[in-house]
Amino acid sequence: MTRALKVVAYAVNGAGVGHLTRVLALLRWMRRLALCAGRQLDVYVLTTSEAGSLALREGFAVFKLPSKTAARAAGLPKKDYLRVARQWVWHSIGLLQPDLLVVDTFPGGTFGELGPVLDVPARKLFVCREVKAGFDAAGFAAWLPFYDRIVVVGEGGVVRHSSDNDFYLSTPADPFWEETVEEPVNGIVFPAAVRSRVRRVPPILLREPEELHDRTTARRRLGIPDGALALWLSAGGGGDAMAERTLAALVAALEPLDDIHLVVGAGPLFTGAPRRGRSITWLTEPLVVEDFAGLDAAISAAGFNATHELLAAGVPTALFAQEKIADDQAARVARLAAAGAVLPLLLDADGTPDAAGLAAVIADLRQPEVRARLRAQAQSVVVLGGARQSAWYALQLVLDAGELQAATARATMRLCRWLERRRLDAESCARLWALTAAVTDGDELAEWLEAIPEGVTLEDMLTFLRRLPRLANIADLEHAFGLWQRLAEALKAVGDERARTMFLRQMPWSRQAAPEDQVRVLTAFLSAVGTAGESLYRALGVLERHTAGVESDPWQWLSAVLKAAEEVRHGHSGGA
Amino acid sequence: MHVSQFLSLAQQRRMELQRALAALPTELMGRHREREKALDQLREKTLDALAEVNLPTLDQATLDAVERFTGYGRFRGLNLAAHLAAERERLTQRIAVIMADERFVRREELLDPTAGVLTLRARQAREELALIESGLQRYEQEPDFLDLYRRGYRTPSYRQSVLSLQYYKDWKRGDEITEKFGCKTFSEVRAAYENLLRGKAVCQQTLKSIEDDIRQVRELITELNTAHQRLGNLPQAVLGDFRRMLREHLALADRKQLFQWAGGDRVRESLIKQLDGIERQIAYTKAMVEHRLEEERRYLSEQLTRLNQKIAKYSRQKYQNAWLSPNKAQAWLRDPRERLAAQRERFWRQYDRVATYDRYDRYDFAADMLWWDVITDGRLDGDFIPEVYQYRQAHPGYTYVRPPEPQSTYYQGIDVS
Repeated sequence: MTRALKVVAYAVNGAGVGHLTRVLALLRWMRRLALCAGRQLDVYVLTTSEAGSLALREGFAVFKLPSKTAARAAGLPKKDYLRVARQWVWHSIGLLQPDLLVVDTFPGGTFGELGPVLDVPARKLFVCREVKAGFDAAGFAAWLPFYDRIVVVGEGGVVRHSSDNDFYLSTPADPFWEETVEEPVNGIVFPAAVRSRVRRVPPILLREPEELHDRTTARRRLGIPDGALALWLSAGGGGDAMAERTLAALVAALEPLDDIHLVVGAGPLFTGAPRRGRSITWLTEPLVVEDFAGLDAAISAAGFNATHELLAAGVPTALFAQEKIADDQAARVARLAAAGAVLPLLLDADGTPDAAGLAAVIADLRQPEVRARLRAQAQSVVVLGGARQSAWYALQLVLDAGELQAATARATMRLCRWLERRRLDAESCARLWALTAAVTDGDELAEWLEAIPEGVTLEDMLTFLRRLPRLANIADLEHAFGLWQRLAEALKAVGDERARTMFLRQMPWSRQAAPEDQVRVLTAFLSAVGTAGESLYRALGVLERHTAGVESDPWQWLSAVLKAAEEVRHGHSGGA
Repeated sequence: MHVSQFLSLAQQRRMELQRALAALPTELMGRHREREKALDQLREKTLDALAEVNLPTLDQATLDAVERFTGYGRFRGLNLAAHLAAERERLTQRIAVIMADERFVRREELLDPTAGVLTLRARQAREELALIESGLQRYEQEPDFLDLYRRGYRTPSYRQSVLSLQYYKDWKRGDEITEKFGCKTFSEVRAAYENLLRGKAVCQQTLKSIEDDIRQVRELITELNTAHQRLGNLPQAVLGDFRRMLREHLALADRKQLFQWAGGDRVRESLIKQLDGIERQIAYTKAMVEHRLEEERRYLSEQLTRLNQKIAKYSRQKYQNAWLSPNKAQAWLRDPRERLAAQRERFWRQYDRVATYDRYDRYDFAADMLWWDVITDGRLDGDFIPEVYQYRQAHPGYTYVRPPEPQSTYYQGIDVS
């Protein structure tokens, strides 16, 4: 088996959810592409985010350090905390010796600790999101030459994207480093030495619209009554100091409105008092984005992820800005409002919404034509595929071009979903790709793979396919899948999974007889096994006994299988 | 040492090494096959014992319990009394059918060794066949006849050019053969030969048909005897059938699953562990001996290559009067089999340790254990065995610790041999 690729993702940036969400979205697609290349990805996420449940839901192991907020709340001395944090990051990276280090937002590390270890990983990727103008831009630029690839995450409404690969981008190739690098990008001026390593990508989202639940399912999951206007309220991940006050004020103002059902995304970090009621759905779990199709409108803080998730899902949204250290939410609101994609909402200094402004926003959001206009405009300002494209750039550093190209062609959403549902490991995938090399398109593969009955594992299918002559083209593959489907259908009716696996591994097979004839008689045999209530283990024994020594004679072999079926049917070999 | 003396000794050593290399599989595999046979027999006995433990008697309660302990569901819902009655009925009907069969009724008349109808017909057919074959031999033993016949001499398929010498040779031999068999043309000789061939085919067909008839009558007699025996001791015969069916299931059933099905029953668990252990012993000993064979083959081949290189070098003209340092020459001529013998002795000790292991009770299906470590007490490196290698890869930093001895008479109290 090919060696696993070790990836360390550095998402150390306060207690919030945003940076972890971005990194997990990138890692999720890296894992998908790696699986489609048949490569194992061992991912270690280092983070200070207090929303570890998000990583758990996404199936990533998180190595966690308390956030500065948590350390402060626990009364830990800042110097001790910083010493431990730096050592912890150094030792983690030094011990893991990753093939690829992915660093989010702070190229030198939040504590400035990455400098001494940047020579350890083989390749390094920096995910550059927008930071407020003047946010130590010079310090940022000094670290950039250490990185092999810099992915600049675009903002909705202003993005242009690189496209030196075949992603589904709406924009043409962008010689970014030649044209725009003189200007600050995401608050940073890129030094000349790194310009050729910079790539722009659309916003990195954890879920693309096509991965969301349909509207009916989403509304059922959110508990929204029929006919009600579902209004999403959110103050970000819930960690903001003003979050509780803002949400409480919004809920108090909107709860009396009978035609509105409030879906409050308090966020995984919310620690205040929940507000529940007949017309309120109160949520603190991560990944609510999957149900965004059930919403009619939203009032949300203008955090990067929340904003782009709502816009991408086409939810008519009013945004308000929160004060953040690095994120300029006010600028984002202004930019999107100017583009006609959102409605702006002002908050007072105490974090409560301006009453008149809120009433005006609600009045607007109640009008279907305003919602339709906002929806259309919102979807037009967000380009999709940022997570996938960033993952592609990351893997480009560690996989060879041919391997990545094949993986990219395979990694359609349909195939990725099938792989995730079946929980396939990289080794099985590698064998599957080797056997199905004739088919390069992921959707085409998915169509065949989806036809595999649920009770039968992919390993079983691979065991069967390996017995067939080499699959040279799509027609061969189609034929092989057809045979497998017939056999699997017959097999799933008998025995348990372990017995079926054993049967397929040891099932007698003749290289001389035509596969379709063999499948025909084996199906008849399995049908006899099912009818007689015979154990699959004994059936295998009977089959082996009958077919021993006749593999070279197709006619005898097929007759032997039918005789075995006869014996299984009668419980004995006949005669006295 | 003079180079000629060295070359003579080296060639002798080379021959010995080539012989040793050729004899390697026999030497190693011979001893292994004996041991493997013994382990196979032990496995068969254990399977018999396991089938017997799970199906000690033929009664409804025992049959109903089979699935719970073995996962074998074929007896689920089987009504024993009805099954026995149906089987008795089947046998009775079969006996009646056989006894009414004309071939069976006339069996003595047909098969009597001296005057039986079929016996006489078969003898006659064999005699006729022998006669035809002797006639055919006359032709076939005639030099060049078969060659001319196969090449179609004097037929349209004859392709010899008139410009070739062979054409005239064929002509001459054809005339001589025609004259010898008293015919006018070679075509007459051919026709006579083909007549005999057709006669042989017909005769063979007749003989085969008679022999089939004889076999069928004998089968009827055998089947009737078996049916009578079975009917006379039907419960025992059915118990034997059921045990055979159960045994076939047990032979391939997943061992861990089987152990779970045993549900804590000590006797069953002990037999399942023994069965699994023996199967691992069979696999391990095979892997060990194959690995050893490969190592020895590689070592001897390397030594042989080196010796060949020396022979090639010192066979050159410029060395024909050279003198070699005796120490060097002795080193080159040293017999590598001495070193192998010591290694092999150690190998067989390790091999026997694996092959003769019998403390199967030490294995624990519930724990993530490796039979190899249990058998070798974790002292032998088994990374050449895929199962062991994969286990070690999946458990980096793993060291085997022998589990404490079972407290009860789990092992000592049961005789499973």
